[in-house]
Amino acid sequence: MVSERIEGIRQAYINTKPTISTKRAEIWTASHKETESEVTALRRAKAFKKVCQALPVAIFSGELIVGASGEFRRSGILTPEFSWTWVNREMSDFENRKQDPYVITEDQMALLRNEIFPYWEHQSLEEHFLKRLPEDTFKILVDTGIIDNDSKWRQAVGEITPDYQDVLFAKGFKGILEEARTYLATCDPANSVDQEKSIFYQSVIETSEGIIELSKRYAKEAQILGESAESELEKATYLRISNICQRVPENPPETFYEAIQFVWFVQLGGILSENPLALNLGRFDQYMYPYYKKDLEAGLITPDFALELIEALWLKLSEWVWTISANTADFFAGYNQFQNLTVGGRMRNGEDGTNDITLMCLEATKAIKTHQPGLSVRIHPKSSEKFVMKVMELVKEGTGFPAIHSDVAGSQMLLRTGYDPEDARDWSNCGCVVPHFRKTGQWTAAVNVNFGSALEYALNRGMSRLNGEQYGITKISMSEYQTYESIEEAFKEELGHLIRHSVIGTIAAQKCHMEMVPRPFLSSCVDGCMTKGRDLSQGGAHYNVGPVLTGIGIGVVANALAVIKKLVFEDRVTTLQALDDAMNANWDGYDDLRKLAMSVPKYGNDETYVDEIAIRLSNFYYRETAKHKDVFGSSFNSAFMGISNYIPAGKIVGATPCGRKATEPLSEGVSPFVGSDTKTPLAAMKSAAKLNHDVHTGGTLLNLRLSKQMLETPRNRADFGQVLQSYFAMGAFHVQFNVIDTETLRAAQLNPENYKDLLVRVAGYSTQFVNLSKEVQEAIIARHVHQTGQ
Amino acid sequence: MLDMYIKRDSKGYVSNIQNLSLHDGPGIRTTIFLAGCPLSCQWCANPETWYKHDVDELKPKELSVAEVVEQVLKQAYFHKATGGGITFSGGEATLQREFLEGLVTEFFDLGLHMALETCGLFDMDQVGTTLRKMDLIYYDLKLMDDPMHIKNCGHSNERIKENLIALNKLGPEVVLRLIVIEDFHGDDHFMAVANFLKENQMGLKIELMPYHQFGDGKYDALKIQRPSRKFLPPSKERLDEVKAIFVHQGFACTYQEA
Repeated sequence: MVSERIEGIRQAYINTKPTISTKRAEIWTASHKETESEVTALRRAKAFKKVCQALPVAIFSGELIVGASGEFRRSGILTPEFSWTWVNREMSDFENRKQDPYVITEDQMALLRNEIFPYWEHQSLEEHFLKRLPEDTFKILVDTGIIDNDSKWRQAVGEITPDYQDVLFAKGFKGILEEARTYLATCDPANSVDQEKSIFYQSVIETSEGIIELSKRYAKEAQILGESAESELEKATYLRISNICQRVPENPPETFYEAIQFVWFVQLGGILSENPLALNLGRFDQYMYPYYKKDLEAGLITPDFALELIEALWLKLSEWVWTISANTADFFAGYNQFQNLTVGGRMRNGEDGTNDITLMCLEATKAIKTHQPGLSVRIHPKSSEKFVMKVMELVKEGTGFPAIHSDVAGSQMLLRTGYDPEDARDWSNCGCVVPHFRKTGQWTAAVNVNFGSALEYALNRGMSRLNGEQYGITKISMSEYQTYESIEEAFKEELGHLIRHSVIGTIAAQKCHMEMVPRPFLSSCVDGCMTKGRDLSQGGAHYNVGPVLTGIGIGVVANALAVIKKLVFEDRVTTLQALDDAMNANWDGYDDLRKLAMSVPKYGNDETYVDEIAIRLSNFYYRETAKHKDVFGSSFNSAFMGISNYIPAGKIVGATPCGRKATEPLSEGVSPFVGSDTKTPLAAMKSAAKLNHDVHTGGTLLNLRLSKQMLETPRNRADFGQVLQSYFAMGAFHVQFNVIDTETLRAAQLNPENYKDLLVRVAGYSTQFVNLSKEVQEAIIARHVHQTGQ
Repeated sequence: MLDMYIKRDSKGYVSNIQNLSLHDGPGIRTTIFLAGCPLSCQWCANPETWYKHDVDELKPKELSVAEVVEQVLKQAYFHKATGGGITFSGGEATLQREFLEGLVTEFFDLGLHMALETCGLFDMDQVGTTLRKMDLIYYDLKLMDDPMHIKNCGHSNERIKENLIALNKLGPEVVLRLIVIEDFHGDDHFMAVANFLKENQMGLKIELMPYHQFGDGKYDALKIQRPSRKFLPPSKERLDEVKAIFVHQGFACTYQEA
């Protein structure tokens, strides 16, 4: 049950439209005008402090946790220092666009156009990056969908997990401030390295003073509100908030309530400093539990109030708006900020760390159904049944939460990247499914690499089938290949070519970040920067891990190559020329050949014939990626993840030999192509688990559909809990269930072609929904409605 | 809020929780011995479950459903990985009706395989719902002759026979377990069993349970007299003879060698 107070905040959140706030951009720009001759890092630190001093303090009715990034309950801020051109281009359409619209006024637009953007012309990260890029890389990297890294030059990188355990809760910003002053005092300006360091320490002093001042302004505002409050309860609530903001984040927290408000101030500081994607909350249950336990024992908190506070934080995390372009909104639909929060799993010493806060986090997401945080769980053989049951109960809700991970596979990935064993056990997710550790600087989603494009160029003389442009390196046409093996080789060469340009684009972006956008506030939240006296962007973190290149469409490519191998070279029922013609015609007039292509084994059905191609290509991908090194000398990492990138990636790829038509989505992560895993989710898991997840250190993602009624009883859920354990025992890393409701069953009736994998329970057995007669389908829908009370 | 799965108040008496149990059903199992029995068989191997006594190492513990579930779940990974589960034994598990119901509800929801070893003396109306959730029931039939049953087991076998017929229609697989004592259970007894099964169209699997004297130590510890020495473990030849009787009558029959 959601309390009345939380429901009040939730309703306010649901009923508030995301609104652009220009305040942060105004103050940021004004500050930069005053500091023009100073060092970049200090200019950014001073701008941050100015924002903390001048941003409107906004406490909204009924709040338990305070702090907002602008004057509106759902403010989206702007960061013109990264990119302003797209805002300038698109802002008049913000209110009317289909995906993720924002409210913006004429006055705001005039202010941006006349006062703010002109200052940043030729000064933004975007403009510098695009100038720096070699021409041939530019051609395939910038807004093409072939390889894509625009989140690394149109936005801040984010991808940081503030360290509450060893830095923030241990020291408070007062402690960080004192530490910076102490280090600064030891710097010798006659030493060139020390000169660099002293700039870093000065910038941390500025940002620490800034965040403390912001919290004190909130303390004062809460006190004023408390004094004029009408009821005693309201008054007490405001004064309590005021006392808490007076203490944190300046000091280490002493209570659960202080700790949770501390977390939000850090989050807010990160938002104001760079509007980041994937500013993660890490292992929230681990660092919050000691405060809960202490308060509970002292009689200072009840489980119900702790849950309310967690829910209040969930709402805060959901309220702020990550302002993005229409194009980016297609990739990251739904105002998603990717603030990952990971619970469950082993502790540093290897014992199970599940505690009451772990279960409350699952409960909070179930109760208020906010899209943030991105709730992830770690499961291992020693996880309690109660925890696994609670996870499956949340899965049944059909929100896609939580993302379920193998605790062990995550640790293996970190061990491979060179972490100490204790640190490797202490991992949490970054963004969606990247195993990560809080003392790390890493670009966990550096570039999306389109496997479908690489295949297309190998089969079409290096050209796009859709626009005829030359992007690849292959010289021969499809019909000239003499063996299957030579086609697979050509694909690998094209993929290697895309990887190479991804590396070029990443290094260019890293250089720009080092020069232009140091991150003093977030650097003070990550272990290593202080002792090294070096910013995150310069490699200050304790660990520097190589950027992640995310492969998109391995399922489609394996399916396509299997068709060529079987139909052309083994069964000899068609020719390369015929397939080439069919693809150029987008299968129009080739119905029989397409039918034949569709009948060849597809990835996701536990069929060795095609799965072994996927294994081979994925192994090649990680070896080829790991050959390259970034600006810090760290090897690049491979991954098969990403939430919706397979849809836009598909839009630029013509028809493929597997039977897929032009512009249709590719396959997602290590998931089968939608509808092509016609056996069971278990067979799909078997196929996915054949890949070597432990080497794809940037994470793997498997998304499966499940009908709600399969998770209806506790016993059903217990059984699926065991399915998870089995999948992880095979070495796999992640799975997420897309639980299907009545609406989807209706859609499946209309378009059975796209729902061949959809399994439903009929009567003591389960079968493919689309294979049932209309009458039975109707009966199932009727039962479903009855069972779920919809 | 957090303990929503488990209705945990019900308490009961547990004389032992035996992990790595290999002979009470498929896979690796945990056998839960519940205290108390309505019978008093002269050859019983678990006399400590009959009555309240104060011998510490044999004394049943009073535990809640939640406590038993917590202990058993520590083994759940082995149960699930080997296709094993829980076996309820005794004493007579159905005697603690509410406690058994609490446990069975929990383990059913947790997806664990469940078996019951029962002497068959219970009120079907009261325990039928609980028994229906079992996957497997081992049903003891000690003696067919009622006066002998009353003399040796302290109770008539009429209801036990009726319950077997009813239970066979309930759903879970039923395996009939027959104790074999040398020079005590004659061929006529086993023929009577076979005829009873045939008359009632019950094609049950039969498992012979060779009598053993491993429980003697418990009698000593309880300071009560050991079972009469007229009860002897059967020879292998005798077991084979009995098995042959059932096989000739068309039944599947096995026994575990001691």
